Amino acid sequence: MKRPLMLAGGAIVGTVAILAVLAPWISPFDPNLINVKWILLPPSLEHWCGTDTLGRDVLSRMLYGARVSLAVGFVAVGIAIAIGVMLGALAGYAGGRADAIVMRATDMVLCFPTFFLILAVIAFLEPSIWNIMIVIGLTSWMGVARLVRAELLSLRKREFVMAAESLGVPAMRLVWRYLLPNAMGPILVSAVLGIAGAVLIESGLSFLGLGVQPPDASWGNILTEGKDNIQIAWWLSFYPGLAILITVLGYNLLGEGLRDALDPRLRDQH
Amino acid sequence: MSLLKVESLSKSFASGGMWSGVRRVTHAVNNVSFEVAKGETLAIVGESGSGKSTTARLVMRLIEADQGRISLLGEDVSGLKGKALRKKRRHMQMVFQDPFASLNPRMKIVDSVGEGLRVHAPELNGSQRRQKVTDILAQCGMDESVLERYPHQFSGGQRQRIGIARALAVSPELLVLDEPVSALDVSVQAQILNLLGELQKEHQLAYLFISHDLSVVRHVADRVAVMFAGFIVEQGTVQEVYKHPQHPYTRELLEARPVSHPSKRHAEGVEIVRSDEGVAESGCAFRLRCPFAQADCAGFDARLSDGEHKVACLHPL
Repeated sequence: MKRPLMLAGGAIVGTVAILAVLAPWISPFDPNLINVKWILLPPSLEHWCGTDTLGRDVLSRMLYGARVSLAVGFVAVGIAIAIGVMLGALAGYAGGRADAIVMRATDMVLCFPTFFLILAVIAFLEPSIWNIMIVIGLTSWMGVARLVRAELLSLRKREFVMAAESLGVPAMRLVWRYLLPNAMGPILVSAVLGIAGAVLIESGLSFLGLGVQPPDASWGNILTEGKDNIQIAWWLSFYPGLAILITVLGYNLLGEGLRDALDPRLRDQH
Repeated sequence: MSLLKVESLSKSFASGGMWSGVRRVTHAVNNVSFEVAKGETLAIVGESGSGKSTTARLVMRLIEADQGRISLLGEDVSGLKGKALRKKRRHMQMVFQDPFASLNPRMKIVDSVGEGLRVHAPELNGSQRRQKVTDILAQCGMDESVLERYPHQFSGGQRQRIGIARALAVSPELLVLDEPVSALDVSVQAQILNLLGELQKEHQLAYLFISHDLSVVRHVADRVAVMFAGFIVEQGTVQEVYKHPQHPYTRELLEARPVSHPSKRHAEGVEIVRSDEGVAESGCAFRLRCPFAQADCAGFDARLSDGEHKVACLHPL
């Protein structure tokens, strides 16, 4: 079998996605059901991942948390890709002054430490899943913009693009039909790797209490509770931590596998 | 009136920049002038780096010239921009060297070939355009079954046919052929050259044929311009230039050409020195490599002589 790591990544990503979608049907308990008799039960056959300080089932909360992580990952990356592709295409195609302005702006945004910028912005806004998605998206487009610009600059020298130019194909059509479709591979790779980054940032924000607000579950805010009880209830930290680790690893393996698969120079090795 | 008239075309590229310290300027095309009449083939030959491909791209207005005039059908197109330029592009089209890079890998053949019609014949609807594309592909020896396929499904020769069809779709008067067969197998080269010959007769096409292959040029061209280091050093009919080369560089090129049998090679052949550094910065660019160079060559402005068989040499052969 070719590329076992990429397939493993794809399997992880697919499994997590299915679990997240099916969460309402496969969760053994209501994730917000409080039961004082079940407080801090260790993992057992009934509660596979134990219960938390309010007696809620951790497995159920993690399944719902997966929905948050994936929603944030996909929407934030969607925003980042949209902005990055637009600005990158403008810079790479128009060139000249537009290129200089866009790329210097990109450099400026890259100078900010992203996580602290997000913290500062969230501190002013109400922490909610929507705000997080938007803020992560607005602060992670720079890599995509640079990538798209570089791809377009090299594609513009290709003969089929010159052929289209000599036919007089209008600029918008040239970008949409000739340049961007041929830059899809690298954009896709950067999107997949970007989801891993967004999942991590969301977990971090929720861990700090600036992300998804209780009682809604997120892997990050389950970890927060785990931190306070780490000496008596290891499962509260272990399972959500493991979920984050495996998910991020899955996206990274998939993304890097795709990168190799799409790179013709690496295509015949593995 | 000639179809294409190029006067004193020049282009230089700067390499190195702000940070690298050394800033080098390469004069890719120097004061180049030529004309192409309706239905004729002018070949531009020269070694790689001589500026022949740059000349093709300048003529096509794919890159901007520093100086010079390009007139198409008697009208100056060198200053045109935007919509006006787009309209004029219908009259001249280009066929590229690398058939594997010259078609959009993400577009079906029907869309690639129909692209020019979309721009220049917007009055056609989808099925009329498709019909026209089918006709043109048929002229280029490709049948209807190729329409819905993608470029990677074809061989080099087939792709070159598709590339020619794409250029022809807008009914141009001039085709700029940039090494159209040098990436192909020899047997396929002949097929493509024959196709180009037939199309030229049928449509009264003028060809600007860029090549380094003198055998091919002898076969297809009416007139030939020899380029060295961005200058045209000799220009004339194929018979004249091949039989009686007047510029030492032309002779060197002709003697470097492989012959069908060793006995056909000139007995007293000139020793050929290959050197990329052998380009003079001033005077005649060829003088450092020229076996007949004399002191006054250093002050020569590389101007072509007048007449039918032009040469840029103070001491022509």
